[in-house]
Amino acid sequence: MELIFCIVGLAVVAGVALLLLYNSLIGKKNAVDQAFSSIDVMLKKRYDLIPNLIATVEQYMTHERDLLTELTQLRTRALSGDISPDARVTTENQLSGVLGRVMVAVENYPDLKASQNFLQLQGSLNEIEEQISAARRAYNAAVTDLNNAIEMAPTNIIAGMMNLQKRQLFVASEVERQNVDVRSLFRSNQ
Amino acid sequence: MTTDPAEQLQHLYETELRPVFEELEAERQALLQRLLISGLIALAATGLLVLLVLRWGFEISFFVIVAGITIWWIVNGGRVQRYRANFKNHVVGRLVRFFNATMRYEPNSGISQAEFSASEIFRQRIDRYSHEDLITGTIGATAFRFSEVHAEYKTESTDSKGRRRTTWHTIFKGIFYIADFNKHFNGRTIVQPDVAQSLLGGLGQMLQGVGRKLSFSGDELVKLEDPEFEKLFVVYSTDQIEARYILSTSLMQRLTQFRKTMGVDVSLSFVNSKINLAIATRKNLFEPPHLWQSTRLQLSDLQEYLQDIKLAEDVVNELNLNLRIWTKA
Repeated sequence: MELIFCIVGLAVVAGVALLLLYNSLIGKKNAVDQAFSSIDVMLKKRYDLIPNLIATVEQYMTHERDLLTELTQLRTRALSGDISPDARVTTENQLSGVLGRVMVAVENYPDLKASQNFLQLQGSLNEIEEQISAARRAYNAAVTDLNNAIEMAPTNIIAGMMNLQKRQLFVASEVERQNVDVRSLFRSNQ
Repeated sequence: MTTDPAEQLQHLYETELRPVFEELEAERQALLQRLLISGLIALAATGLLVLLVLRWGFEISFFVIVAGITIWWIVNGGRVQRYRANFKNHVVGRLVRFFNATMRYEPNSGISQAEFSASEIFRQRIDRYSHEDLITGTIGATAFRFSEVHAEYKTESTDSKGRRRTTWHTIFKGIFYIADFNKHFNGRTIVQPDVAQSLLGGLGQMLQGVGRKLSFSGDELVKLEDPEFEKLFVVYSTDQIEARYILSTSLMQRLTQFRKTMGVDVSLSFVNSKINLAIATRKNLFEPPHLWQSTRLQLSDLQEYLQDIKLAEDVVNELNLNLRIWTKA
């Protein structure tokens, strides 16, 4: 009799533990998805700013028509529904690059730089960039959390049974890394 | 007029503060004399009374001694307070205006208990709250106010003989600083000194996460990527992304640096687009030199008071709160 109680007790404890671990894994996986979708939200906000930016700068920036056209094209491409995730990331990175170049080019137009409209827009853009970076960092934290759970004992066993896969971290793309070199951008403008 | 701060201070000292110091010194001397003379009288009177009542028992003479000290303090306490108030108003107030003309000093005001509680850094029930030495002002685009604050809670216990004993425990004692933050946000992010992680490492961090979930505050543990920052602080927030939006990589570095320069525990919270800092200094700021101290106030003393006033600027500059490149003006 006592043996049966013992076995039942152990089974209940094991069951509860299994349930908790399973739930924690699902929670972590959903946190990653949620973080990913919030990056998307921020990126969409950035698209919304681009038409405003172009409208503000185009009357001043007579020499950078190509740059602005490129920006519009990239935005259209990123917004079109039938784009693969990989292509989306590339487009996104190119967009960041071109935006950075527009901002540097503004330096050549003191009137534009001082205009209230542009200053407001620049503030909004900085804000969005900061938000995007925060969202990416949140995503990376969530992914690290999930990846740790997938690899560490005891959750790794359940994760194996659930067939959970490790996710990739966001890393600064080649384009973004190049952007940091502001001097080369100045040179290309001369 | 020279632009060198040291020379300007020298100028201020020569022209304005030296006479004030002399007055204060005279007041101190007079006060000392008064304390001594009245002390001697009180001592003699109490002594005589004790001799008279001693035959009725030791307890009554004890009562007489306590009464003697109390009366002596009632007679003189006001004067001591006045000396202190004079010092604060005339010396500290002038120094604060000298440091920055937009800044104001109010010795008897402070960060209110409502503001203190609204920061949500400390969540214990507050039973006793006091504040003093409020400094307010604006540096660049950043408005700030800070003061000394002492918040306590009490516990009551009854011993075996049925006597009730009240014990006071300090929740926070130090400088409480509130400034306008340079970014907009809606949620609540709290940064506290990390005890668990610095002692227990990863296990500590796990416990923090579980502990927060159990407290039902709706806040989540935020794990940040700066290892040095993570060793010093633990962060809870209502919003994972917003917490990272506020605690940018550069602000984390700046906070780490700030914590190291201060050398004491620093807790922060970001609520209602404001940054609240609780700096647990042990020093009582802006007090006059001790009554019994014989040295006169000098220029070098002023430097020390100015150092403390400079905290106003240090927080704004070291945390870069005047960087306004986002939508918040």
